[in-house]
Amino acid sequence: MTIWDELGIAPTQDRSSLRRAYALRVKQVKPEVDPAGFQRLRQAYEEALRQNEDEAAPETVAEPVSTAAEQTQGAVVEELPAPPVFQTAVEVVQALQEAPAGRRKELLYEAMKAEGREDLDFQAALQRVLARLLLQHFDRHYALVAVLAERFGWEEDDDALHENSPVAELIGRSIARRWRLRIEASGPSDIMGVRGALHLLRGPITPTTFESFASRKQNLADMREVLRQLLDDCPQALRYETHGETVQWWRRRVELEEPIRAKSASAAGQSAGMRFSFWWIILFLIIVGQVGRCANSTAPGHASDYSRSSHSHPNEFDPRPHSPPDSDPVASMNFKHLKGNWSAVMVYQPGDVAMHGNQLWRAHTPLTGQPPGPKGSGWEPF
Amino acid sequence: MIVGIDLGTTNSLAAVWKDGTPQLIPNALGQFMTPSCVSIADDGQVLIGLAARERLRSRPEHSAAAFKRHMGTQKQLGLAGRNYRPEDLSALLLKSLKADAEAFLGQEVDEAVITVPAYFNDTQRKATRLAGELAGLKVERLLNEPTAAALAYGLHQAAPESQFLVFDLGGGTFDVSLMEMFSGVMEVRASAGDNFLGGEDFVEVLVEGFLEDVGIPGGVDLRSATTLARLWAEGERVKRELSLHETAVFRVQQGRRSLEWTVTSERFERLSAPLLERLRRPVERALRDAKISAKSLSRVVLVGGSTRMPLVHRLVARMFGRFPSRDIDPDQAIVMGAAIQAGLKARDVALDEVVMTDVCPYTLGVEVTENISAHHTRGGLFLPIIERNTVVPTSRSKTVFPVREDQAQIDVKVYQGESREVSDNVLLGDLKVPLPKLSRAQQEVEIRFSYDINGLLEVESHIPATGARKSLLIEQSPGSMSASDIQRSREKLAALKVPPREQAENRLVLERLRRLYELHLGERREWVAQRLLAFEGALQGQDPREIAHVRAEITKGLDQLDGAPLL
Repeated sequence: MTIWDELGIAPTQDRSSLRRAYALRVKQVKPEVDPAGFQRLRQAYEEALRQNEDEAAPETVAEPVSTAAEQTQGAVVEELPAPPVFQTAVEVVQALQEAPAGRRKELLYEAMKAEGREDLDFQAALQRVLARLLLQHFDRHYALVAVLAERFGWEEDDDALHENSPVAELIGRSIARRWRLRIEASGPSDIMGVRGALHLLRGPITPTTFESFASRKQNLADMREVLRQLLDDCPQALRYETHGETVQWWRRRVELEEPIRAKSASAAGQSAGMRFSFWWIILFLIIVGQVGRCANSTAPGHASDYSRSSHSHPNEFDPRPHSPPDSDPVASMNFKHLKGNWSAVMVYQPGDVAMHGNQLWRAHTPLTGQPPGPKGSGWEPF
Repeated sequence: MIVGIDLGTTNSLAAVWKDGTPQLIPNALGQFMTPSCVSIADDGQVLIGLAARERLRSRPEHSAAAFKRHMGTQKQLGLAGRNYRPEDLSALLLKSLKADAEAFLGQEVDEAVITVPAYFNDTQRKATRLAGELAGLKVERLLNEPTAAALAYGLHQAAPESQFLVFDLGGGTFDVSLMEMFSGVMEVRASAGDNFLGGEDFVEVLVEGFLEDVGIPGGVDLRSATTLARLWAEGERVKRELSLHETAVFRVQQGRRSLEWTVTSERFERLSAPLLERLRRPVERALRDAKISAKSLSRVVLVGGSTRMPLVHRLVARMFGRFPSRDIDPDQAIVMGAAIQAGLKARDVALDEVVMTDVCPYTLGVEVTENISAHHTRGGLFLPIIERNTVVPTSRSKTVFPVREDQAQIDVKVYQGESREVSDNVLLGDLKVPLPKLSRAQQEVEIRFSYDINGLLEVESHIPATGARKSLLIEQSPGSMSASDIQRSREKLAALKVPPREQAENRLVLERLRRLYELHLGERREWVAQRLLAFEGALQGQDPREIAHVRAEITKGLDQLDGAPLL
């Protein structure tokens, strides 16, 4: 039975006839009388609506806010919803920038109480423009983000931040910045320790630096700690405050270092440990050359996979079998990596096939979190 | 006969679908609104409604109000030395409404549609249904309050295709629902809300303002229930007065001194600014979720007694750039909708062409651990299974795997909320699924969530490798009652005696006199004492006409002294 059989009409692109058909059928399967029948109908109806949207998608795909476009003032002006909105936003940002930090909250509150500014549509538009203005000169305006976020509840609403909007991008960037400043403040002031590790992650891959950095064992522990915090606490910083390829490169080194350190710990005496370290550095210099090349060949932007994927391929970087962490054996569960079932899986490899609508789609690039269909680029009909 | 009940934080109402239209049911005092107050009288009998509200001020330790705010929690309220759960008190209130309906209809009533805030969670809904059962009512349906109001408005709607927003600010809760109507289908497109925001918070703001500006000299114990009850009652009165006048005087009698605080509506609005701010967010979210702009709405409908406050009215006007509608009494819209739903449930022919669909207002999911890389896992993350604003009833599933090879069972923690980290969401329950002794790849578990039209959640696990299927009830849900708790409640409630219906008016006058006796001093107290004596004499005479006569006389005098009781 197709969705169209369920709806009792021939396939159509016309939204209003679709709605009429649903309205007619739903009276036969009222939710309180026939819950199962209603659910089937509703599923068919939603699927048909989605296909309708997909058909209209090519126009909407071009439209979403591209981060590149926001770099120039021209792009902002072009996308203005209405002149007073832009005017207001510029005034507000200027006034806040000039005000002493302690006065900003109150100032913004007063500014938003002005005639007509409490209007919901106006404020929705204003918030977007404000976010774009702040993104344009993020470093200069960073201190204002917290004030605006508090007033508009930007950070309270986790869900809004998953949208592709300037507000989401602004909040992502400021979370990343906050994380970096915190890490920088936590370490010693010189270029050692967590500070140094973070510094390395922010630049390009330099194998020569590795040598001097890794000569101090504590440095590697610090690097592991920074990486752990980066991956666990602040995936946003992967994108905005660190160099993606460098992070990936370091991750492999730091994770490989583990078994060797375990051995060196079991060997008595410090000198043995030092000897190990020496060989181990040599070993790395060899690997560096090889893996470094390898890293360059992977697709750019790959680092963002860590932030979203629930399961990178277990064997992608590491030939050893997976060793589970020593955590509570019962307390937690794991996503399934199941090819093709896109409700449960967020990562696709090239060649993966998935069902969407009543059509099969094949991924031709590695994909993260995108449902199949013309909306998600990287999919082709199978 | 199915009765529709609006079980409110401050007031409750009942209505039925009769002769093709919703009809409000009067209580024993002839009023449609019954204050949601319960009090245990000195003779051990239970008083409900206005008489209980009188005792809230004179005997606060024997009385309870606003218990809806504690539904679904472990909180116990002490009344006359015994502890009652919010479910027990709600059951007493429901029993009284049930008796009103039976008197009005002249037949037994054992089924009800009860409204709940859209943002009530699973535990709160179950508590409400249980309260109904304790009161001897089969709860046919738990209906979301803004949805009920929309139903009442929708039937009046002339335009066949329209989108409107229901702004429902009650005594203790705030809900926003976006409705769309087309071809006889009424669809909730999105719901959002705040479970702890309502008229009571505006009273609190006034009480705090008074204490800050004037205070109570002589260090009166603020924790004393009597002081609090008096401040609260006065705050409520001032709030209502500010709905009608530009200024009001907050007056508290302290011994022979009268403490006064003059508050303007502008000051009230400034004090309420943080609350008004909290009213914006759910509206913004509902509009965003439904992808509807404020401009394209055909109307904005105000529901709930608290929307009578001019400052709320003005805020809505500023937010939407137009004046909101209040065609139906904001106190009655919800119960009217509940009665319509009762008519729908009874499949009344007049309603045959109406279909109403609702949504789940929050996201429901389970806790998972994600693999960030081969050696790196991160626990405590939320895996959504039913996304918010999904049309209900609905059933969705996701597949999960054990983290470790040798895992013997999976602990499914069910959460409600929108945060990526479960620690920021609400834990609804905890279920254990034993795993078969198989390789990890075969240990996949499908977790299915089914959410019904009442907003109640059922969780099912299925292991494809063995075919083992287990329907699971959420146990240990914090705040829900166990079977033995329920039995104890039944016994406790059965032991309580309710005074006969025809005595309701007498009880009210007695309680009012007693409160005023305690409040006043000197001549006024003497005046009250005389009335009290006269009325007690008339009651002993047992002549109904004489009692009614004396009662009417006294009530007239009391209304002059005290003002007619506000509902």
